[in-house]
Amino acid sequence: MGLGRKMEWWLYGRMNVSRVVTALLVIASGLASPALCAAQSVPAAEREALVRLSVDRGGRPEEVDALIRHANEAGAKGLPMTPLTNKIREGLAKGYDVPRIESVIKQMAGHLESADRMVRELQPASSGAGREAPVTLLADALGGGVTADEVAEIRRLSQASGKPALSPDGLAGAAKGLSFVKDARLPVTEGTAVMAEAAGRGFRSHEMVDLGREIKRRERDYREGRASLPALREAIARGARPDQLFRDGRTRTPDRPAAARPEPTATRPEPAARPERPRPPDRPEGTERTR
Amino acid sequence: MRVPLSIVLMAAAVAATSPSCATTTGPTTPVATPAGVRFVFVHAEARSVTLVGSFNQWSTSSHPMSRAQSSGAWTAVVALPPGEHLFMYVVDGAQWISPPLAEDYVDDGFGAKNGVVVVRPNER
Repeated sequence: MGLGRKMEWWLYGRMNVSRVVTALLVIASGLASPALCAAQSVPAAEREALVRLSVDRGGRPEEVDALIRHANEAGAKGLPMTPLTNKIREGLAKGYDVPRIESVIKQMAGHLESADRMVRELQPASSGAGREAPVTLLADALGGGVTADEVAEIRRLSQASGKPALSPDGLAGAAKGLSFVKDARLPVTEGTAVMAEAAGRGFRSHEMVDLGREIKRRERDYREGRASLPALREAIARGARPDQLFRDGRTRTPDRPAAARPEPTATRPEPAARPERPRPPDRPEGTERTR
Repeated sequence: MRVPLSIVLMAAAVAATSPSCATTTGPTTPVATPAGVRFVFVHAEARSVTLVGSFNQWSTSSHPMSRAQSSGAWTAVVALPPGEHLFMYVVDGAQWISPPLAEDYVDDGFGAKNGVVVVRPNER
């Protein structure tokens, strides 16, 4: 092999190596970019507003920083931060002490992390921006008492053969709808089947949220046998669309009876009395709807 | 022709609380109007009432409510985007009150109840 031929092979080899290195760099940056793009921290102006709110109520800036740290940690993981900063602001505005706010923030961050994991399982390639809305809504559902097992069950039932693939938005909407069913203390298994059927039939996220809210609004009908969740599921399975499910149409929620209304509170909101209602046997313990 | 007093009182009560009456100042759940969502809160002794919620970052100053003359009803009309919004009322700048009437209620995580108002896309 002549010198020219050797040089050619050497150059060819170097080019291949550089191509491989370039390709690896491209792949690595592609994998890292969603996390990098999503990683963020609370903006300085937002921090200042929170500090001002706290100081106006006798708090110290370092206390607010302790709260903001949780939001920043969430942001570093690519989780939505807005629900956390909103809750910090709400807690400070209402005059709650920092440890109490911190406890709520930690719980919310945990729900956001769980929701993010569920969305990634469903759609591994989803981008940070596209994930934010379903993660926030799903976390909201988890905060409302829906469990990871119930979300998995919605996913399993809705993806039966022949049904379209479930999107993160669809899963989040169905879970949020189920949170209303649970809040109404109606049978969870039946509620899960209704939401899974709706998700499988291509109801949009907000339609499933509205469906859950409507079921809750009519909770007495369901509890007293004037309506049934299995019949509702069957109607959806037969192809009924959201606007056809309730024959008298959606109307404004009637005013709650006095017993169910929150009592007026002094200075700082206090727990409101909730009327006693029978608990279904399949409602899991330790869950509470929190927003 | 004399109309029984009970009928007159009943008619007055219906007129005062009917959501369909655009000028009503009786207590209602927040109602969508062409100008925005109309909130009505009755508190006769209040010197000021502010509407606070997720839509104004719980600011106690950005949405003051107006008092209807010669009644204890306070009103505010707020343009809200479609979606679910949480709200409460603040009386005299310090007293946070869960809405007596709302489409739904949720725990705020701190032990109190936030009212929920849902703005649907076709209601804007």
